[in-house]
Amino acid sequence: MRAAIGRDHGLAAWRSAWLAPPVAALGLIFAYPFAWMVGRAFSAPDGGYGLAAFEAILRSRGFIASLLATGRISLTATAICVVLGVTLALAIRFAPFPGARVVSRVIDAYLAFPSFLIAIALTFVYGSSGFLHSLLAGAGGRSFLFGFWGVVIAEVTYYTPFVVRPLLAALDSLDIAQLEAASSLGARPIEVLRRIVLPAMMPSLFAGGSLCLLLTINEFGIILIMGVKHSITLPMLIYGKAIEEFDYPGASAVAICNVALSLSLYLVYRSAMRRLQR
Amino acid sequence: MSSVGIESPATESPIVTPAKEGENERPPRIAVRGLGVSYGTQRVLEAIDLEVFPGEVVVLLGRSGSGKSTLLRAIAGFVTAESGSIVLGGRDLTRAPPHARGLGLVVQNYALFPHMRVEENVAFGLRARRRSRADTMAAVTRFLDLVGMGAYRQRYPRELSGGQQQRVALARALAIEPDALLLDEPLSALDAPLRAEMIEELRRLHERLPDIAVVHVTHDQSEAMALADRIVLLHEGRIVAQGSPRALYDRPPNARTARFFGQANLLPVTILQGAERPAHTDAGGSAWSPVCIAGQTLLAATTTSSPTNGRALLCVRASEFRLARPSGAAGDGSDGGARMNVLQGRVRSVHWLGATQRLLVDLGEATIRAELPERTTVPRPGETIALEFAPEGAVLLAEE
Repeated sequence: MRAAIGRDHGLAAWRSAWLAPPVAALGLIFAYPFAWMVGRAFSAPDGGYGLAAFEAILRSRGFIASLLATGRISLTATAICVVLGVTLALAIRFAPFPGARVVSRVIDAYLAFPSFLIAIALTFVYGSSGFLHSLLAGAGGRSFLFGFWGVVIAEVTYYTPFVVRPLLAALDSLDIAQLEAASSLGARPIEVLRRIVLPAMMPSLFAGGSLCLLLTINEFGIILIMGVKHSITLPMLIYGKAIEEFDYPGASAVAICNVALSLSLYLVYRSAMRRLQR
Repeated sequence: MSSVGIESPATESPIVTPAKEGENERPPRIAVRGLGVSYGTQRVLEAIDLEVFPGEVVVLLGRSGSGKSTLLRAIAGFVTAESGSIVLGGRDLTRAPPHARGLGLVVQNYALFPHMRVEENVAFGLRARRRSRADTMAAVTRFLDLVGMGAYRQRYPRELSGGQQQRVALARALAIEPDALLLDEPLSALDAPLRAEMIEELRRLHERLPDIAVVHVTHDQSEAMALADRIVLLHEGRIVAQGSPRALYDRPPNARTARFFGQANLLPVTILQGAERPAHTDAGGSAWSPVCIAGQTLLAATTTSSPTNGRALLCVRASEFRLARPSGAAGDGSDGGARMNVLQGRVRSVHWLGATQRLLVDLGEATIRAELPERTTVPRPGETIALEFAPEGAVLLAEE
């Protein structure tokens, strides 16, 4: 018995030994830069530590404005993604139009694209040098693309599949017999949708929606290409402070706020996923 | 009831389940006429006529692919009728959507709504009908108590066993007080002991709701026998027989029906003709026909669908056979009550099954399967055996 325990201890030590190199590597490439960033954020101008950087950014109008811009863009994009995603998922599942399978596959493939590709593709079509712009230019048209709606359109285009995919999975596991039972009990199609289908989609919708919100808050590539002058979001603010102003403590403080926001949303997302898996 | 099926000779009246008297004077709850259904180019139901009366349990029986579930789904409105009509409670609802048909549906996997408690499940149909809250709650209590699930109303479906979920599904379907209850393989997901219990439960339920019409789909003949007032046997999208379980078992109208119920021997026989054929019509009016197999002459009961000459099939259940008394004492045919058929053959094998023993007996032209009581002393394999059976237990059927 004792020997067995001894062996177990030996095994545990052996396991720790195996864990050491990856933990060290992770520490080097992730924890150290993060710790450096935290250190910068809490550094005081006199060389000690303090909240000066946070005070400064909280007082600056730029930070509050970018927080509002981030919220406005990501909430608008997420809301449209959710509405569009529910409609698309229901259409693919219940009103199989020709090519519904292809659309479903394209949605799968879409998840593998880099987001800025969408932005670049959109600028080719709608941008100041795009063909639609040159058509509208004669009529006095100004490109609507570079600004709030341009960013929202690009984000909706890119992130809607992130909502559709889990919804399709939820609808695939929905028992058709439940829908038939509901209608034989006297429920009209719209009532079946409201009382049976939508509740079944809820956990996935919540998970997909929070994922979408999380990703749009942190979106960088699309905004860099399409909204730089009009939409200073948190990531753009960090980029500007660090790369253009060399204000590392300020950039780090904003980054900490961004990480805190993302982490709390991620926790919401995880709890929705747990409910979904139960 | 429909005229399709069989004629029961008068002598059989004690064993035929009496049809509910006066039933035919009430309008049918379900009247299907000339129903045809296709899936794409494949015809899955052809010229189906079916009536179900108040208080009647009709079991649609058949193998998978026979069209029994399609027929139920057509009645429920989930399958479109290509031809024919479906009249429910006196209204032609052939083209009506499922939610306008007012039928209670229970399916194999229960299909309870997982995000609703038991009482919300049962209340669903009443809420869809905009019943008042008080009415709804009273009905929920009544029907949950009826299926013995009153103590579970706050549970979610995932917290219930399969049998309990099925009871809730029944209560949910009954709560809307449907014209008819449609049950699609409702017991197939349950294990054997629970299934037997649910069969009893369904019978009790029907006693407590004597007016409801039930259409029950199953592939299990013992389930059909236990529950049906009338069995409708389907094969390849057509009704091949219908009648009381007893009638279909004792006087199958065709070989397919005989094969479906119990262990039937279907022996190839020749109907004896002309001078050799004694006119046998006994006092009760049953008709008999002499037939020949492997040089041995037997007497067979005939029905209106029996052939009158040439080759035919003789249907004898394995349990009809007894060990024959010593030769000379049986088979004289002079007295209607005592006359017995005797078949001689060679025992091929004997299997002990507990309560019975199964013998395979070689006749030369055919092999008989016989089940004899466990205590009977039987010859060993290779030896000859004489088996006797009553002509009433042998029905003459057309070849397929």
